[in-house]
Amino acid sequence: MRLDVRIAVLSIILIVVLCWSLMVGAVPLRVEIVLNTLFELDGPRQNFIIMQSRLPRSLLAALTGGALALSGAIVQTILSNDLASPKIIGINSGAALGVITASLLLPTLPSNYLSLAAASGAALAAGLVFLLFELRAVSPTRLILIGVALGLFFEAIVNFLLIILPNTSVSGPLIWLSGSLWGLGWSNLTTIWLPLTVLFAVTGLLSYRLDLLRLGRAQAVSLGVHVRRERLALLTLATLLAALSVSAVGVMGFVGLMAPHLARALVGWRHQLLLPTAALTGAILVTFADTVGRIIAPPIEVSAGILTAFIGAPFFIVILLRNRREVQP
Amino acid sequence: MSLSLRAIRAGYNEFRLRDVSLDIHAGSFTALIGPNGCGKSTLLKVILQLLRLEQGRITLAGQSLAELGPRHLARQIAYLPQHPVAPPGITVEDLVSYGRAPHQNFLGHRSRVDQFQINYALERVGMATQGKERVDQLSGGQRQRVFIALCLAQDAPWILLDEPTSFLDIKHQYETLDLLAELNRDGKTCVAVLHDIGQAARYADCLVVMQAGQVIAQGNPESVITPELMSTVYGVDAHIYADPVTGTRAVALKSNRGGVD
Repeated sequence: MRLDVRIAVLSIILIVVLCWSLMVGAVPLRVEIVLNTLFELDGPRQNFIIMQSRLPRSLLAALTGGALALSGAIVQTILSNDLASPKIIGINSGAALGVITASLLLPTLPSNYLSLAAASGAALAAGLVFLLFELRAVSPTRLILIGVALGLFFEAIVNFLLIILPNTSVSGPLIWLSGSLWGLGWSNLTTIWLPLTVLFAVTGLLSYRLDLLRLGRAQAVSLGVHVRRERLALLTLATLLAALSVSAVGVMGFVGLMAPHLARALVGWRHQLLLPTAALTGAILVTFADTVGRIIAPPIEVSAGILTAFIGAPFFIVILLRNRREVQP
Repeated sequence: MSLSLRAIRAGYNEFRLRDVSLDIHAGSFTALIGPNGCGKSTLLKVILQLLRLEQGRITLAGQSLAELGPRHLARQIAYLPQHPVAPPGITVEDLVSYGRAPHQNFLGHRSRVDQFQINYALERVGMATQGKERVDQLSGGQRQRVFIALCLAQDAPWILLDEPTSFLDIKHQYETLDLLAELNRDGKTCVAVLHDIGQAARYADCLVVMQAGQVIAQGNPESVITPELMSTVYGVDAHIYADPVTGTRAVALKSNRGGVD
């Protein structure tokens, strides 16, 4: 595969943003220190702030941002719906419900199992949306509305649990629900990087199938695609991508919606280019949001999820207004 | 080698195809005609397994389509939907290349045979020099030819077309039908839903007339197109004459009896 210029440029931007994220914060560090630390130019003397705090955190931001973007790109294609994203159709809230329920009811549960809880909650939401889509053939806009309602319903349950259950600290889950990378480190990264890498690879291999599904159900079926089966497989993939991100960094709003749109504007809709571009865009968005959140009002940290929602919500409204033509399922 | 439908029942919402039995012969140019909502498009969708069969059996050369599986079915039958989707910004060649999907692995690797078929298809519809152009910037007639090229790249002996001439102006309607007739002469079996009875009689060698979910007549245009049929199916008082150019059946209305449709 030829290396695309736009992908190369995005990769460079991601590296620059990552470096910048290592430099800024409560203790500003100069770029030489960052580079010396990363490449051990001063010998094994490591900068504790970079190696133990900022580096794992920024890598997590990039990784989960990429996962959310891929999840969004898949969901938009298989539902033939530009308004869809894992957050908007309720997958993220489902994952949040899973994590909160597990951590409140079973406080002794090791954190590795939280991903499993997230996946179960996310699968519940995705399964409901899929059933409605396949069996009732609802219109794209109604599907979005149902997803939004489902998400709000899950959020209500989460809030209910947070209020009624005694002897729990609410601030931890609340920060997590707003999509924050605060206090995350290597242990969080080691739990999710391997499964996410595998999911990235699988998604990449399926880019041609996504192309075929993008032609619409009638065309895809007549080209020999087993549409229902492939949609289900891809939705499972999207659900796992979103659930793993949510289990690590909480509910990061609108990344899964924005990144694929920006990517399509850059490279068009062919998934072989679209998927890597969307993943890079998502990674840049979340790393950038996390870094800005750290320096915008020190010493307080603003959650990355709050910042992505701050840009993302108006973005969503703009797409809604532009999206007059409805795409057929 | 023919497509046989036996006692088909299928549909959506309240509409049903009822007890449709039909044989379409390989090599024919078959036109499905009938008033709006009679089930012509539904019939194509049932053949393509886009709609679930509630009863009955469809076989191609004796083999059940349901057992064939989507991939093998796609190597036998190509389909042009009524409103085909071209993703924004896609080029002509890229769109046509998706016709090779039933012959490719899931990565979509394009072999030399694939490229040959794509080039052949583009040439066949007269778009060989426009492979790099964007589909969304073509005229309606050119767009339709690109989608026919997509079907040709699929290299299936059968092509099913759902109202291929609707939304085209008269020149491009005839251009499209001429192209289909040419493909038919070269051995493709064409099954098209057509609205214009004169066009159907002029191009097709077999007409299938449908009404309210049932097939009520099938045969060559000369035997099928009669004033009685026009009256029962369309509810019009028609005069049938020979087209002065082709000598095929053409329809002129005397008056509209109204209220029958």
